[in-house]
Amino acid sequence: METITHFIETPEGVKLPLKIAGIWSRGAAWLIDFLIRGLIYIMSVIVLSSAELFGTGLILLVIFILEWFYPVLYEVLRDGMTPGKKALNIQVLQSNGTAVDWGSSLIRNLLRTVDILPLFYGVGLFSILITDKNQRIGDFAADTIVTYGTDKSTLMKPISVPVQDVKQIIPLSLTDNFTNEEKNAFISYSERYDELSKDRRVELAEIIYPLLTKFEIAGTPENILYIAASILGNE
Amino acid sequence: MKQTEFVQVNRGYWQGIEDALNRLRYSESNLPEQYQLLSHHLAIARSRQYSDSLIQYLESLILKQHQLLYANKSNITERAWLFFRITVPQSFRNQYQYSVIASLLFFLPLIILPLIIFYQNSISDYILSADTMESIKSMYNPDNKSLGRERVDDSDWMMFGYYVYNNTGIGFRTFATGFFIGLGSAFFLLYNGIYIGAVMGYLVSIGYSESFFSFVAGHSAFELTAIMLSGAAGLILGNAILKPGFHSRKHAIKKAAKNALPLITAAMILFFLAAIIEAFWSSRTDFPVFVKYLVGILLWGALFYYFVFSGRHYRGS
Repeated sequence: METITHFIETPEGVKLPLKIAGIWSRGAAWLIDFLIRGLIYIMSVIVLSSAELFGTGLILLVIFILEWFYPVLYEVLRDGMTPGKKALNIQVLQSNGTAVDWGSSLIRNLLRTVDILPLFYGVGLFSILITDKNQRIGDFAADTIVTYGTDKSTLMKPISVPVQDVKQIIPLSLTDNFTNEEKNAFISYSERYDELSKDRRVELAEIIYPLLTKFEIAGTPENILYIAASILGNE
Repeated sequence: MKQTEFVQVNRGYWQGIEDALNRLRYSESNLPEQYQLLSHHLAIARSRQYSDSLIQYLESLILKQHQLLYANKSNITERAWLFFRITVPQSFRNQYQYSVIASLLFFLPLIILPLIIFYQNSISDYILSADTMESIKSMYNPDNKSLGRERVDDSDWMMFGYYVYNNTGIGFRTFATGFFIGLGSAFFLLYNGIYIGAVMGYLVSIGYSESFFSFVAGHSAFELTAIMLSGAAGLILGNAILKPGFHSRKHAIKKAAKNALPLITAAMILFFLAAIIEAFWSSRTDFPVFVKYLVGILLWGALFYYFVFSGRHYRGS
């Protein structure tokens, strides 16, 4: 399943893409939250049951809060992320990209009552599958979306080219012959080079080789790195 | 300028913003300026076709700044105060039709059934099971030391937890199931109206009026109004699905939820207050009966005043 991208436009005219979370991440996040809630419930029973009737009252309050307000409190106070969502790096946002507010969070979580019907989130799953922004009924009512977080995105390190290995002198003007799409292929390959296994490096490089052989340059991963570096303007 | 040089020049600046965002100690005064400059950098990166990872990095920083810049920074206590002081009663009055319908569904059987049962006692047998009648009979026996559900010492806290958990939960479900063109809400309103009406009628018919009414007087205003409001909020949702008007259903439900929010929030607070009263006040028998009736009447009056008169002089909230 391809990730859906939802574009928001800020009032300043900047268009930003939000990656809409899929059904598996949301399901897994829900499961983690379910286990955490179960754990809190069990612990509160162990601790409070010794307090007899007073304890029973508090246990009922704990159940009430876990059932209705656990997601609301986390979503509003912790950047749209319950512990489960945090683990899966997904986040609840208003559909305009801003943080979810108290009212919206309350609405989307009260309407879980509808989404869990008739069994196992049947309505919610169906709604997520057929709508373009993967929204369940609660999301529609609250005008919210669930997106993949961006907090793991960091600035990449500069591409390191193993210069000694580049025997062949490639003219710098060569890069002018590539289209923007082709240039991007070189750069994307280089940016991922360090995290690829040896076999995978060769495998992916073979896709780009036709571009090199066209100009009678030997097809090697090093040459790809070298060309990428010259596109980016590395010394 | 090629990408590497562009990154080299600005790297430190971006890193500074990234650190500030991660520490959540963003200097408010710098935010608009940095937001503008970063948007500018993004535009440059896009138009010069710099690599995807650089563009994504800048986008992620700008998105976080956007969220900070447009976060609601006004004081939460002040907003909550204005919400309950003005928004809730105004929203109740602006869409009173839903409360009227919800009241008819809920209060009509609740009032009429006791009258019918008073003249035709056997009707309650059709509505309440033998077990239920037996248990409410023992609960409201005038000889009991405390009223309502049978109490042992120190059980007030348990009942408080139970009332919050059970009653508020029912209210939330009454609201949410309104999504099904209002049918869920209508069902819960009717069901509870009939049930409470039958219990009331049965207890009156066997001569337990005083113990029953002195118990329910205190919390009746908050609890019954809360049930009615949950239903009214649900009917707002249902109406949007049934008759979206010029909007798409998707848009209509969003608008309806916004309109229903003040009512369901008010219901939630009222359920909570009703639970406090029911657990810690209603069951007490060490007060004269007329004091308990008086408190009940005063609370109905206060609630009436709040919904009818509060926030009248404020325009546009």
